[in-house]
Amino acid sequence: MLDHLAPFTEIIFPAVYVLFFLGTLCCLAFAHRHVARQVWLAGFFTTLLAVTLVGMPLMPVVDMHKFAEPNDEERTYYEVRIVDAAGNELEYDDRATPPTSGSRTSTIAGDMTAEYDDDERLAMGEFFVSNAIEHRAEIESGGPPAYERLQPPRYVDDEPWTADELAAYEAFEAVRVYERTITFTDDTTAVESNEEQLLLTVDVAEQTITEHDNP
Amino acid sequence: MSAFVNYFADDSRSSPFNLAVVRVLLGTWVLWRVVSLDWGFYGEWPDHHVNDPIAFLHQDLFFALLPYQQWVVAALLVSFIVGYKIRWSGGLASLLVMHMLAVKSTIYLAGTVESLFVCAYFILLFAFFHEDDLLSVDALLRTRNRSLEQLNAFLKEGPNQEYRLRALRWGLLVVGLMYLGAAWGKIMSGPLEIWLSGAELRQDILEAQELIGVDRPLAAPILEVEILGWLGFVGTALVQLSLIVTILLGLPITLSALGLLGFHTSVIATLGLYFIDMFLVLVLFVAWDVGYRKLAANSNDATLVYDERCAFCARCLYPFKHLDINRSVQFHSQSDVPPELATRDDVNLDAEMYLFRDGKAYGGYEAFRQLFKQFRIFAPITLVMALPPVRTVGNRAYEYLARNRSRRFVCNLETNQS
Repeated sequence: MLDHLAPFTEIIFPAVYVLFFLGTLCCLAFAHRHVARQVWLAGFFTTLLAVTLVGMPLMPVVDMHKFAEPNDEERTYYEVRIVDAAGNELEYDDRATPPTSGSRTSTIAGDMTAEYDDDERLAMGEFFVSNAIEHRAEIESGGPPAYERLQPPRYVDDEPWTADELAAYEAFEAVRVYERTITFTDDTTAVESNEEQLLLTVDVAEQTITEHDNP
Repeated sequence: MSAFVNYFADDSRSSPFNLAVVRVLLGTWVLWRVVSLDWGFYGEWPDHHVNDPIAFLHQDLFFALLPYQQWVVAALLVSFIVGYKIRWSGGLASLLVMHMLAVKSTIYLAGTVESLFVCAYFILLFAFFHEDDLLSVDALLRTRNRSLEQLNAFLKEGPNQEYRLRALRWGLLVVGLMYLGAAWGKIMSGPLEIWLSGAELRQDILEAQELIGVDRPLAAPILEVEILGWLGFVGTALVQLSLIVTILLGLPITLSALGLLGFHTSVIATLGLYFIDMFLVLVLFVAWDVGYRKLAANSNDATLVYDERCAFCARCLYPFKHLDINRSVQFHSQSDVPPELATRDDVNLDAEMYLFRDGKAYGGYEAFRQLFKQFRIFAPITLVMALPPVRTVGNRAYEYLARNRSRRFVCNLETNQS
């Protein structure tokens, strides 16, 4: 059924979105009437149930099918590394580009290698580098303002860059995308191998794109 | 007595306390989240990086408005938290938050965003059933529509009613469906053997360890003891499915809710701080009124004598009557004050309000402070009210109000009934 609907999603998704907001506002305006509430509840829960069963959000109604897709026996992950003028690499700190965390950065990095054209790669590379430079400057000047410590914790608690770590690097100039492939032992109690391959370099300073050949 | 309440089975309680607690908890949490996010940054992402099905939301205008909407939402949420104009402050805050989250989702739809959507649905439900919330500024303002006789009768005789908490009834159904989706997703994506083997969970743990480089306390046992991986899946699926089943069958939800809290705790101990917002969502269904009742149970009974001709005074006391779920305060006016109190030499009941407890009489500002003290949850407020500068200002304010209550605060019977 979803396949049949696919050609119409460009119309259905925006229409549902606008109707939800307009409909809710109208129902709120008449919220003192029993029927207005009943209509809204019926519409909302029907949509929520459908979204839950199908597993596809229909904004602004979402599902929570988390960790629901079984993975392959080997897992592939794309890693962005920032590169300084001397060619030293440092794993990208996602705090430089909110709201993404590792898995989303991996998706973007994967798209950079396989989906984007060179202009798009360069634009994304510039985005990563310029924000890494800003984030670095903030860390080197003593870190984010004190009030930011009151923020909710990130759900991915990876290690942030530190001023000491950054002191070993020259100016950031490029990004590289690595493909990492993790394989597990047969009983899945340990990692068997974790191999990386350099796939792409976007040199923002030189405005060049390099696709790396791998054996 | 259950620790969690199945509001879907019965949305009535003997107190509106839970609704007020949930409104404050929920509003404060969403406020914290909304203010903390860097909305201004999201518009800087290159345009070609968009989640396709919702690409229509990836508009420059939407992104440009986000940082301004953030503060509009903050203001609306503050209004919602105190319970002022709940229908529109909550309704608009909820819709704006949903829109902002939808725009953000064009970049990244993470579990944190989905949890906030759930919070936004809750706020919207509060807006739809706003008149249920009787410990709010709105309810206090609505007392203007009640006659002085009605107010006095309410204070002296009590509400004599069951309070409906319909926002929590439908909110619980939302949560039940969300967890149903979490379990259903795995069944739908199957095959079931892959989940039952525990291999998927172990791979998730190993991958997280490899990529993030953090060892979690529960990770090693799951990797080492095979049956824990199986238990992890079966236990998770059971608690996720059991919530909607217990909700719909009208059974107690305490075990399911505790199971889900245990599940979320084990996720943190295994993979990291995923879904921490769901802790808040689940505790919204705690029987807060039971704890509150126990907290206030040891308070000695008090008698409060107020001016029955003063609508302003009666309205000020109105929330305390709703809060007094143990009926530990007897409200009297000068016309029906117990003789043993009326004849005391140390009080002047015409001059100010009095609270009597354990043989002691507290008048004026101190009566108010002791009234707060009666409910225990206000212990911090009573401490602040006891500070000399606060007490001085409070005494003066009370004296001013008492002196002018017939002139400025619509306090005589005739005026109010006209």
